[in-house]
Amino acid sequence: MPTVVADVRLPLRYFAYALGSLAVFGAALPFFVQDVLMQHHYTQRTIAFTHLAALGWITTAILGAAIQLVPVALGVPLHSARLARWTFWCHAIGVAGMVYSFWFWQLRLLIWFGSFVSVGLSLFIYNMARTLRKIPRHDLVSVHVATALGYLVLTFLAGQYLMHDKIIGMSLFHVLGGIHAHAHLAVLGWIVMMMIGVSYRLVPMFTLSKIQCERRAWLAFACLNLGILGIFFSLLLRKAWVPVPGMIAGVGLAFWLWEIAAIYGARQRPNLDASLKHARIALAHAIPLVLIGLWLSWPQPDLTLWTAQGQTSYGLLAIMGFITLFILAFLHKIIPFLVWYQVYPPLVGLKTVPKLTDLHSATLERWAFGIQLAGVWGTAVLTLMGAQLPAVCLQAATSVMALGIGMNILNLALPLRHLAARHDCWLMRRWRGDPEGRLITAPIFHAEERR
Amino acid sequence: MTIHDATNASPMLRQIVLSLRRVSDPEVGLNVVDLGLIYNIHADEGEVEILFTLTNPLCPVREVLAAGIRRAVLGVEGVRGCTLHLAESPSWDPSMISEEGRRILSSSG
Repeated sequence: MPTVVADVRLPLRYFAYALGSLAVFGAALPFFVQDVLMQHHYTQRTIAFTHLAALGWITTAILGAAIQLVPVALGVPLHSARLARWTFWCHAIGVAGMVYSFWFWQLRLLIWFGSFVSVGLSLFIYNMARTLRKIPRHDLVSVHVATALGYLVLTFLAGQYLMHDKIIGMSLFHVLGGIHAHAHLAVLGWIVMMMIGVSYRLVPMFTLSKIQCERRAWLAFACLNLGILGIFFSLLLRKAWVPVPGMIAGVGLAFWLWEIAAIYGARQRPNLDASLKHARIALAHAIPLVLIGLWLSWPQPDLTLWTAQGQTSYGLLAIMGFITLFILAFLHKIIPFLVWYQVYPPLVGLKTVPKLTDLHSATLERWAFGIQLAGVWGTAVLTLMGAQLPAVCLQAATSVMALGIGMNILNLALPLRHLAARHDCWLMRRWRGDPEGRLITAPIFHAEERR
Repeated sequence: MTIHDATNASPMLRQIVLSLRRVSDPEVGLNVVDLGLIYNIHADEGEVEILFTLTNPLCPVREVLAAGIRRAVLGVEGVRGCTLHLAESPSWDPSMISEEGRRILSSSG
């Protein structure tokens, strides 16, 4: 059975690109608050920022996590590491080009770069599908992963339709309806479904617990799927019954959160580390999001300033609150693990080796989370008020969010020092804290000498 | 005698248990002895057999832990060979964590 993907640099490459996209998002947003957060969200800059976050940051992080975690979670080897490498390059080039095309509204260029993303995601879906086929018996995790892949295909097709509609003008559906349907399919169908599936493996593993009630988990799955499909079609067709599937999806999310809470509650690990606490707080964002979503979907005679700004605030809270904080919490587990696995296995049993939490700073992790959380909520609340406040207020809130993002990225880079121990140059020795540049620790050298 | 308390065991067995305490689960931060992963140690004229388990059948560091256990045992003076057996049952349960292990978990994150 597989343990870790053979080349740990492969998932690290995805994470580096994802975190780079997040850094660009965080750093750039304060300069464009008037364009992106203080007016209706159907603008080229808002769409560019949304795709930078959704494709550049979130989807890339999920792709990287999937090639590492899915084989571990499902107990079968990844079908092809080579396909995963091709996926990375197609996706990386395509996403950068798409964001550029949206920013400058170059729709013809968008088709070219959209094709790169299409090829990359198609390779990924094929790779995962071939991996899933090896599973002798499907379970909660594999079914969620397979379903998320299905929604990824639908999201991609919806995106293709929207792009071609803009260029050729097919006008089968209302533009805003199409965009909202596409966004909900991406977030709920692809991203959240994947989060749920992986959480059923990771949360019990890290908390030393287990699934408490499979029936509840399956109920969540059923309600969520009914809700997602209902939301998609009712948004696309701009029907007034959106709150109905919205409530069904809300019930599905509630069942999921109930199960996760039960898993946490039954844990044998008395004290949770910072990452697990932060993941729990991130998941709790689903509650206000469902309520805000229902309020926004309630039939209203006209689109008011509150509902227009509310939609932007809702999207921001979902992407930067619920999803981003959850992914960052688990990246604080995954990246140290990948680095640890690259460096320390030859020394286990010979000497004491660091544990995963020793590879980065728990203090910095707590501060980064707190500052980013404050920034996200400050931005979401001020966005709701929109143009009623001076832009400098939103700039301040988004700057706080950017600071939190920067601190998180710094903390996630700290484990890489241990990779640098492979390279014994003076600069790396100074970086490890020896003022005279003497060799302090070089675990790879010691292991090689013993051989 | 539980594996956690090897005070009445032979010197070699005590040394083996001591050596195994150098092998830790990197995520939990507890050694395999206090975590309760070592079910049985049998030593006979330098040949050691270890019956062990994992916290999770899909544990991503199972091969690392197995190799570490073997390395730790082979490092003990007088040990000529080491055979590992992965127990199919009973499956690991958190109640198998030692008192010392629980104390360490309670005091850390």
